[in-house]
Amino acid sequence: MSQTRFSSSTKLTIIWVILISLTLSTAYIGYLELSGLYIVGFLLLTVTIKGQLIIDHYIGLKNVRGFWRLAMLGFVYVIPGIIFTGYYLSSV
Amino acid sequence: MQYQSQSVAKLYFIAAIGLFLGQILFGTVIGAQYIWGDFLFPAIPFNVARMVHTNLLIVWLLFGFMGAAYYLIPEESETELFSPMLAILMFWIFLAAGAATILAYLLVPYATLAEITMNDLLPTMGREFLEQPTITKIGIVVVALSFLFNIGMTMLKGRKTVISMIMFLGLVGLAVFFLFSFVNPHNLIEDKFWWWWVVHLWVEGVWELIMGAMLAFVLIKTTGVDREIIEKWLYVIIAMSLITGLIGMGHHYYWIGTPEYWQWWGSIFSAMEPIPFFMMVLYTFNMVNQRRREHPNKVALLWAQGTAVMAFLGAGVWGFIHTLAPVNYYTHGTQVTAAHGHMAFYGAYVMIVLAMISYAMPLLRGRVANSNKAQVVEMWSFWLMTIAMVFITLFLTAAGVLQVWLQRYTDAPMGFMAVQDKLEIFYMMREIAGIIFLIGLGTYIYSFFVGGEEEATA
Amino acid sequence: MSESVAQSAIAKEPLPGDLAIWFVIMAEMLVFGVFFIVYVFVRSNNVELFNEYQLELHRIGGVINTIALITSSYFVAMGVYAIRKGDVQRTGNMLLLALLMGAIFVGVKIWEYSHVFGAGIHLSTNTFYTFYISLTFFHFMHVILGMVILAVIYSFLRKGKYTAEAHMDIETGASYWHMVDLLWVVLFPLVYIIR
Repeated sequence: MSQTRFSSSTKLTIIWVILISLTLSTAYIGYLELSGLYIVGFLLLTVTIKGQLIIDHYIGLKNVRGFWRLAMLGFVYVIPGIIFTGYYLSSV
Repeated sequence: MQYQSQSVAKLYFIAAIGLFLGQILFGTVIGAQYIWGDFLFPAIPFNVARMVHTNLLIVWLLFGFMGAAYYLIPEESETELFSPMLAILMFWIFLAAGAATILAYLLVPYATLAEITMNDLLPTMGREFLEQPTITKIGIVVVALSFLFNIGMTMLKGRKTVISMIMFLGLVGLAVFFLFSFVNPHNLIEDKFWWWWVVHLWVEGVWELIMGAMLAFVLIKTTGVDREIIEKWLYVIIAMSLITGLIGMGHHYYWIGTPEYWQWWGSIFSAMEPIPFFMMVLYTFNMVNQRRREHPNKVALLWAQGTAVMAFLGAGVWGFIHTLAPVNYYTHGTQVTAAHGHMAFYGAYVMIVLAMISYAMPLLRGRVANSNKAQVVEMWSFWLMTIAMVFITLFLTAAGVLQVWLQRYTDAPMGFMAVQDKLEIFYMMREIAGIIFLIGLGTYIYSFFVGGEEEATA
Repeated sequence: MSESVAQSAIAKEPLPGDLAIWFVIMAEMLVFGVFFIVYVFVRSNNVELFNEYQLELHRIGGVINTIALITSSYFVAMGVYAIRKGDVQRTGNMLLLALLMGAIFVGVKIWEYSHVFGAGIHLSTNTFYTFYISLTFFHFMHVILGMVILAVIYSFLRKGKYTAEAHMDIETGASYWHMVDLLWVVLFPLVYIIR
């Protein structure tokens, strides 16, 4: 691995900053008590991004091939997908 | 057989098969009483026959588990049993107590039995599966503690393997949950709440550990696959069954007066309960495909494969059919439950004990495997019993569905007994399947007496 | 298992931690996944109820806990990075910081529960609270279990059990802890924010 420009620990720190920023954006939306499908879509997108960052870089599955990474990523794509569908169906 | 003391298992296995025969005989009696209500009345009323049928099932499975442990633990620990004498003593105590209890059910009115055994001092009788007099229950605890002490000490002085640890853990859980049979609050809801902890936390929880360990043991011995691979699978199956089973047991709490959230907890967790059974199927067939030797005892492997498949169908699929609260609202306590109970007990626990007996008994009798002729007879018994059980399950399921349809899921519900009359055809077919099961069991017992050329290959 | 090592550029890395923990992780995620889906399904039949009571939750507490768990995950990842370099001292510090963050999560959660239960709310108050309490409590138990695992690993580390070459347990515990974080990353917006 490590064809990245940063050393691994710097990479972990940058990812931490991204994760916290996304969390704070979620928190701000919560503070405003916003609702609506676009908001739901955005929030779920942050969930998927955060999930993929954690799976690939914190757990370290980025270069692990095969079932396990797909299963984990499946969780952060499929579950938010189903949540969105559920909210979409209950709003129409 | 590598260790002399393993031979105590033989006693337990013989008793288990004997009591199994008793259980099935009473099963056919109850089956007949479903058709002719006064069959054998008043000598053996339905409630007594049912009590004997279920109690014998539990007791002979316990004999089977203990026998399996006395065979498996010394071999895994690579040492003689701590005290063969204690094992033999406990065998006779357990058998005498069990036999006395069953005879008392049959000979004395239940209320009189409660009086004689001074149930008033510590009332525990009168609940399904827990009908035993309090004194018998205390005896079971003593036997269980001595048994755990015996195999625990054996493990302490020998090699500790994943299989023996999981087997031990399961048996400790069995003993611990049995203690809840002494919890008997006046409040009927609280009583029911704890009642489910005895037999149902066994079959959905700790017994799965015992089953997993026994299956792993038989597979290691008959396939020669690396212990490490089998142990990984065992870990997974155990983790899954504990995660899903312990809270999934909440599917019994839907309609007994417990709070509504049990409908969610029970539904969600128990919906996962088929997964460990499915993994057991995958794992068993994987191990058989990767086998490194052709063990001469073919029929033991057949039982092992059979138990994985039938446990998945009976416990997994037939359990899932009616586990979700909205479905269970209609099916609760109908013949659907009976269908599930029959196939799950047979597939998961009867067959694993028979697999263990099938593997160990020839070794206990001084040969690697039985003669080809004896194995063929045993395979016949496998198919007779298994197919008969499939049909029992199918007929009961059909009866259950019709029952739900006529009695519950309808605008014009019929009365319980009126519906029972409509189900008679299914009860008749079930009884025929039950008699075929009995023939299968007879064939099984006969297979022990078939001689022929002994298998010498190792 | 598959320790097949191909030395090429597209070499596949082995799974971090013991294979057994991965089966446990899969099982846990499956149960939580079903729980999340059921939540959405039930909510779609009780939209007003869920929208009303969701606003009663303490969102600031939820945010603090999200930050705590993510930061904790970060420290654990840094700890795994450090042990791979053989820096035992630094690994220990990182595990302690991770445990501290876990403790913050537990503290905030207990404070949050004390308010909820103090207001006389319980599992049977209404469907929303059934799910809020069930989901967060099951997750809470996982946080506690994860912290126990991390603490055990820390004590082994202090006894000098791990090196740059042999530290399977640390990766195992780390993978479990990241899963606890990952579940919360889904749970928090779902239960506290999305409406």
